[in-house]
Parts: sequence; structure tokens; C-alpha cells
Amino acid sequence: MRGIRFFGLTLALVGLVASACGGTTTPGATTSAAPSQTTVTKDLIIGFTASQTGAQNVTSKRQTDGIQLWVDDVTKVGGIKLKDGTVLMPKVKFYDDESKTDRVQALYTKLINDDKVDFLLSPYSSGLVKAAAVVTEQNGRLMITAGGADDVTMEQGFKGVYQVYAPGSKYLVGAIDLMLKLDPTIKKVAIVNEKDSFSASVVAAANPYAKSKGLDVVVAEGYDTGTTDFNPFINKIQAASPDAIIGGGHFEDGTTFAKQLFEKRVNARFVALLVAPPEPTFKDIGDAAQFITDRYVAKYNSQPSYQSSGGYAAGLVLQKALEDAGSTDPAKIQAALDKIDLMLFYGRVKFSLDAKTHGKQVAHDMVYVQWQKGSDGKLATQIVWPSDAATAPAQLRK
Amino acid sequence: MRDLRAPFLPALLVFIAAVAAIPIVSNNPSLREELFLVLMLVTLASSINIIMGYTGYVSFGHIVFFGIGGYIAFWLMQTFNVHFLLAAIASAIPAALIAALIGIPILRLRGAYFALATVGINEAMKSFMTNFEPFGGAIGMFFSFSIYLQYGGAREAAFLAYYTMAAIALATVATSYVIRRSKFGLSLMAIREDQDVAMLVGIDPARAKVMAYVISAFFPALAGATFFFKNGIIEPGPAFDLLRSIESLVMVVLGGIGTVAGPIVGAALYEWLRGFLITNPTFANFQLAIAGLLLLLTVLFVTAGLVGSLRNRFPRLRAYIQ
Repeated sequence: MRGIRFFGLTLALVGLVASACGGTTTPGATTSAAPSQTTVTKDLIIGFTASQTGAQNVTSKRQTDGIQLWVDDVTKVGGIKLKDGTVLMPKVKFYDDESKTDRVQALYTKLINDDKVDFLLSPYSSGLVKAAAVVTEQNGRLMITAGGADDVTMEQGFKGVYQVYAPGSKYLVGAIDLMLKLDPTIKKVAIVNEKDSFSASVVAAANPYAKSKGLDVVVAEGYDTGTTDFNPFINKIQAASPDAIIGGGHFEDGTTFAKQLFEKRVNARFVALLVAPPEPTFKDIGDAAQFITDRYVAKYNSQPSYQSSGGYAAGLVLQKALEDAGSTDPAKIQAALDKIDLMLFYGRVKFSLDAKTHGKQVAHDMVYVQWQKGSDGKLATQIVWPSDAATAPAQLRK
Repeated sequence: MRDLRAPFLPALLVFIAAVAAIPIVSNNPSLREELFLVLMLVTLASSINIIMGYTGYVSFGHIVFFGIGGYIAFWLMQTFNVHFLLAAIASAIPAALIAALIGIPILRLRGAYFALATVGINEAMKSFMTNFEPFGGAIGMFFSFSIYLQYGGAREAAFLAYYTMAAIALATVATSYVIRRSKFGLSLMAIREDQDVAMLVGIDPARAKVMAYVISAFFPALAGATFFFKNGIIEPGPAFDLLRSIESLVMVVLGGIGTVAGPIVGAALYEWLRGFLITNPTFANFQLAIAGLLLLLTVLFVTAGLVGSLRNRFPRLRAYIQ
């Protein structure tokens, strides 16, 4: 860590948060049928599309893995047991949407009308979630969105769409709070983000928030999806000499951006990037990752990503709603979803009941984790924000 | 005018209309969604065929007009609450005008230079929309769900979009046929074969090419307006998706370049194949590889496309299949 040292952050939510905040509720752990009732086992078909090809391929696969893991876990404990004695055995039905909105709409129509799935989960990425939400509403069905964070999707007056992810507007706001807590003298911030629906909505909230905190946004630039050369942006950042850099987008661009920031010895004390740092493979970039934050620790035996966690959490939310409803009647499940206030390994989940923002996530907050070198010299993640969930103090470049 | 009364066109239009009616009659929403895409692809492929098949100009970035039409119509509907049908027509006119403005300089280019120019225009327009805040910038635009109420609800709006897309596809195919059988079409084909000789016989290549380009831009704009109306969202990536443009070219080649029926057959076959592979548990993970292999075999061994090969193999069919 001679030369530049990074401090990076991103969004998060994690098991440790739940335990730190107390009151964890795990659906499926307590419900059982009364001994006198006759047990009826039924399949619960959960439909969604996955981007097995196209731009969202990598992250979508992680979400699908998370959903599948939840299905496996529920199957292992004997299914979802309803109060009337019915046992639901979840099964997934999904197709490749090629990361295309038109394919999503055609396939969700097929899932609803031909496959007659019982419930819908969303595809991954805000754009595809929007497309699926439209079809869901057209058909009067319920869908829990695992992979869509942008705010605008959930501000259209939907009735049957429920968002598990925290809205994008929350993603970097906490990073700014943390930054100013660590060093209130920080004044200049550069915002460089991917120009896509999700990242743009994150920055649309972070930029005015930074200004409201008295920060001077010296660079506000967007880069195209798929950008691999960040030198023009880095040159501009260096010319403006910001104290902090926030932004990013998704995994590949975020990783490349961080690497090039490191290689160019950018003199910033604080870097917060979206999505990329929490990825388990992010540390592959070496020393540049030392201070790039991660927010993700899991109860899984392998290192899951943010997306796989989201997939798993979406399954848990559906499970809880089914248990609360005690039935597979969509109206009862919808009522149960409206009432949910759940603390999962993923964080808190509660939905807006306002007509315009119905189903929007209102309780889930980000947790920020930092890559830090331990006493053994190896990189590991530590939760650094919020402070009541922190496992280690945040480190800032001296 | 005798040719226009030949049974081919009415038979083709009746066939398309009959197929389009199946999901309505059978009340099959899933089939309706699939045919919506097929009809859209028929429109795109038939439009490209006018500039590529008849005129000999390979427009790789033709999807730009689909995106322009989608954006303008979406903006009109979202901002001014303009009725969808009116917005669609209102979007196709500026798209055609833009085609004329673009066409005048770039249709002077030939071969690969023209193809590259069309790619550049598409990417430039995508970048422009990504940064143009009145159209939502990178986030794009999103309908409030209540906008569908004026059409009777979201479900009814999906039907309206379907009927409209069917009408656009029929109009595109009819236009393609009329052009092919007209003097104007002959002049385009003369340009395709040898532009210099075409000039010698009195054809104004610049004017004819721009006209063909404008016509070929009009229908994709209508399709874009309809597609994004039904989609409920529009973003720069899906609106100016170069891959969709290239797929349309492949459909034209697959079905038979320069024929009227070729793009229809190509679009239907390509979409059917893709749909089958994606939803088939055995092939789902290999769908792109299999599709690629089949396309490679087609390009190598059936160079005239399916309709073209049929016409070549059975010359008598030329009187019946255009």
C-alpha cells in the first residue's frame, strides 16, 4: 500500500446487521401444522426469467443461484408449512431472457398464461424489472423484485410489485454520511458513474445530498456502459483534486475503474463505488482492493454476492408472506406482503403502502463494508457503517 | 398496375392477418406476445429489405429509426398525454425527415463505408439520448401505469399495441411489394446492380436512394413507437440495440434478400427458432450456439435464402412468390 491507498464503500446489508440490530425473524423456522390436520403437499411453482446470456449474464446468474439456494433450503426442511396443514414445496421455472426487455415481457406472459406459475420473482437489473413489472400488473399478479433498485420503477402506482432491494436513492447517501463522520474537513467530491438506469438514479440522489452537506461537487461525469478506458475521467478527477470519489456502476466497469484509479495514483482519501467492491472476486485486483469496501458477508458456505443474497431474500419474503397468509390465495398473500415488517439476514424489509409508491422498499438500509488487511496480512471484509453494526473501525487514508 | 392485381400480395396479406388473428380468436396471450415480436421483426426486416435488398445498401444501424420513433412517441404520450396512435404517426414523420437529412450525405458512400456510417449514426443517437435529459437521459422514460387507463387498462393497451403492430407489418409488406413491382423499384434495383449504368439510363440515384431510405425508416419508427408503448419503458440501450439491427439483417438473408416474402419467412423462422431453443430444457444453454451454427450453414449453403432458393430451384414459382 505504498502509493495510493483507497477507501471505498458501497451498499450493503448482511447477516451481521440482523444480529447487531436484534430481532431476527427467519421464516419457515417456526410454522408447523397441527397434528390433527391432514397434511396436503403441493408444488409451489415460482416463475422468473434469468439472463443466461447478454449484458446481465454474470449478476443474474448469482441471483438465480440465490433463489435456488433458498428453494433447496426450504425443501430440506420439508417445505413451507401453512396453518391449514398444506405443505408447499417450492420449485422454480425460469427461462433465458437474453437481458432484453422484449424477451422479458414475452416470457413473463408465458410464465403467467402457459406455465401458470403460482408466483413471480423478478429478473435482475432495473431495466428488466421494469419490463416484468408492467406484465405483472397487466395480468393482476404478484411479483417480488429481487434485482431492481431504481426508485422510479416503484413510483408508478403498482399494486402487485414488491421491492426487496433498497431503493437506489439510498445507495451512496450513507457513504457520504460515513465520509463526513470520518473526516468533516472533506470538502471536494468527484462523482463519476455509469450512465445506466440504476447508477444514474443513485447519483441523482447522492449529488444533491452531497451539496446539501456543504460538499463541493467538482466533477460530475457519466461513462457509458461497457467503458474500459477511464483515463479521460481520471485525468479530469486529477485536475480537480477531489478529497473523495463516489460513483461506479456495476461489476466490470467498477472493477476496472478502481484498478485504473489505483494505477494512476489518484490522490483521493475516500472512494465509494457501487456494486463492484462487494463481489468476492473484487479482491483479485490486489492491493487496489485493500481499502475498497465490501458489504457482504453471508451465511452460505461459499462467497455469495449481493445479487445472490437478493435472490435468497426474495424467496424468504415470499415464504414469510405465505406463512402469514396461511394460504396461497393471492389476495391474502398481498395483504400479508403489505403488512410485512421483517428483519432478515439481508436487513429489514418493509413495503410502502402509499398508492403512488406501493410496494417500494422503505426500511432496508445499506451497510458498508471495507476491505482491510488483517493481522495475518490477508484481505478481509469488515463492516464499518452504520456504527451500531460495525465490526471494525473504518480506515481512511492518512 | 396489372402486377398489383396479382394474387400474391392479397394472399400474403390475408395469410399474415390470419396468423395475427390466431391469438385473438384463441385468447392466447402468450402466443400474442410471441407474434407481437414476430410482426415487429417482419416490419424491421421488410423495411431493411427496401434499402438493402432492393437498393443494395447494407444498413447495419437501421435500428436508429426504431429508437427515434420510440423516443418521440413515448415523450409525446408521457409529457402531453397524446393518444398512442397519434403519437406513433407523429413520431414516424420526424424519423423519416431525419432519414432524409442523414441519407443525403451518407448515401453518397458505397459498400462498407455506408454500413459503417449507419453504425456510427446509431451509436451517436444512442449517446445523444443517454445525455438528453428531456428524454430521461440514461434512466430513460417510464409510463405511470395510469396512462393506460385511457385505453381501457393495461391489458387492453397490450391488445391495442398488438393490433397496431399487425397493421404496421401489413402496411410494410404491402409497401415493399408495391415498390418491388413499381418503376421506382426497378430504378432501385438498377442502382443495386450498377449505379453508373443506372445514371446512364436516366435514373437519379441520389434521389431514388434517399426516397428508399426515407420509406425504410418510416415503418421502423412506427414499430418503435408501438413496441415501447406496450413496453411501458424506454431506455437508450434497448432503443438503439445494434444487435437487433444485425438480427434483422440476418432475417433478410435467411429468408431471401430482395424478395418480398423473404424477410417475412426469415423473421418468423428466426424468432421461432430462438423461442424454441430458449424455452427448451435440452437446448436452453446452447441456444445461441445452435442458432449461430444454423445461420452459418444457411449463409454458406443457401446463399439466396429460403425464398430465393425456392425461386431458383423452381422457376415457375417466380410467378407466384415474390
